[in-house]
Amino acid sequence: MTITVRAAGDRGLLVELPAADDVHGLTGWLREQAFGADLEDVVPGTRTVLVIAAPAVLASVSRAVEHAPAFDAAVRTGRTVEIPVVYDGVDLDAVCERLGCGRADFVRDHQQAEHTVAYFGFSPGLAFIEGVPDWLRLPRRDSPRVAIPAGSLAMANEFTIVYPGGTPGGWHLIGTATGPPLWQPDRTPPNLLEVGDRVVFVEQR
Amino acid sequence: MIEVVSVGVLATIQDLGRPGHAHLGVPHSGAADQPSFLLANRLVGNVASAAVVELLAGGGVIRCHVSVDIAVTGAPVPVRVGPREVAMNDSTHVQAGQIVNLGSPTAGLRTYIAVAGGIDVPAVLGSRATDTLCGVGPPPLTAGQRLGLDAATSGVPAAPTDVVRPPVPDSAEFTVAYRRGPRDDWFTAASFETFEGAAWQVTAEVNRVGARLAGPALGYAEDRQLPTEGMVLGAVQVPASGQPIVFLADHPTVGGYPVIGVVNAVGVATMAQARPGQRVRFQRVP
Repeated sequence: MTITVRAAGDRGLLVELPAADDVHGLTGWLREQAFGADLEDVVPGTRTVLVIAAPAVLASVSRAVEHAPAFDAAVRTGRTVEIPVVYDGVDLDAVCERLGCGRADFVRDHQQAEHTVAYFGFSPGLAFIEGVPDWLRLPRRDSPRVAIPAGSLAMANEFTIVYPGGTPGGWHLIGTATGPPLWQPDRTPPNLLEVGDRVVFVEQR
Repeated sequence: MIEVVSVGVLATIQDLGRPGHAHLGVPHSGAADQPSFLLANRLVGNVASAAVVELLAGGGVIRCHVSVDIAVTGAPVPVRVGPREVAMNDSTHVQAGQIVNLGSPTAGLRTYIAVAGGIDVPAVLGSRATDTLCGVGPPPLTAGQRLGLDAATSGVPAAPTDVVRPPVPDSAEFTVAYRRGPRDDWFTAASFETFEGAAWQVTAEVNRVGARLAGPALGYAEDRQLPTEGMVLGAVQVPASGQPIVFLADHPTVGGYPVIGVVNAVGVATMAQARPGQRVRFQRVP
């Protein structure tokens, strides 16, 4: 496996990896090493893992990464999380029109695709769920909306997200997540999703 | 208990921040100028994790309802306790009922008020810090608000020999140390020469998230989009405009623009105190 390790200041190491599965694999693997408890943060990106720790710990991380095993799709958290949704988004008709498909086709193909939590960002607990099939992908909308209601299911490029509420957003609104909030700061743990989780969108009727 | 009588531009509660949650998109947050924050706690004998008040551009008035030690650090402001003027970077005893009045800073942006015991508000994800990017933690302070005090003291106020004043830049131009990378592959030798050769103007867009700079445009060596990746404190991110942003305490956990270099811890504190119009140079360290 081709791994590139780059220094990100005195307290950061950015590890570049060939594929998303390697990102999920390395994130879990680093936590299991002897220095795992000394890592302040392990932040997955699309093709990178950022490790934040004291300089002496980073030296060990840097050596260990050289000998990291090859990771494959099997090395994930192993969890599958179901997110109940209704495909009732205000952009759904426009999305289907641009894609040249019917609503039923869109819903079927979006549901049947394999979705995986790639990383968190933009807002606390907001999971970027990778897996929109090629033929359903659209870039973000030209002009973002000022405030998106909590629980809005949205899509852009290869990602699906659930908006936490109160943020602006430029993604296509395709539906609503009807279950408990994916992120709740006063709950332990606050997050229902973890990086590497397989996600299944279950349509509620 | 202390009472917020009035606040200036922005007053927030800050501490060491909430490390360990970046993988969930939660910013680190915490005091923007950590050396000044740590000094304030040491001066009143608090543990390092005690919460303090961070003022932007001074101008705060508090009333202490109990007899308590306080310390003011960071951007230098006139400090009055009742009728008497007291020194910054030292601990001062305030009697119950007395008013502490802070003026406007003569340099820098952020002033810290530590109260013995620390400010006691509910912690969110292990910290009492206000995160201005995402709204995690307590909202900014407002006039009339009453704040309880914790018992988070070590009981040992710092000796004067321990007092190291953090660098609040007070000249038109100052220098911070930085390390190249992690995205040195995205910038040409000419870009690095430009970055390290210019005096970058601090723009009006400075806040707890970052300091936006203005100067010659920095070009990329790559002609593609950077896949989203994790961001560290002090990262100098270069967006498509070519005008760099230095990431401070409330910076986003991930970003999609390349980072040309990372400012060290002292440099981050200095940048957090830099005023619009000042100029900063980046000195490379290996």
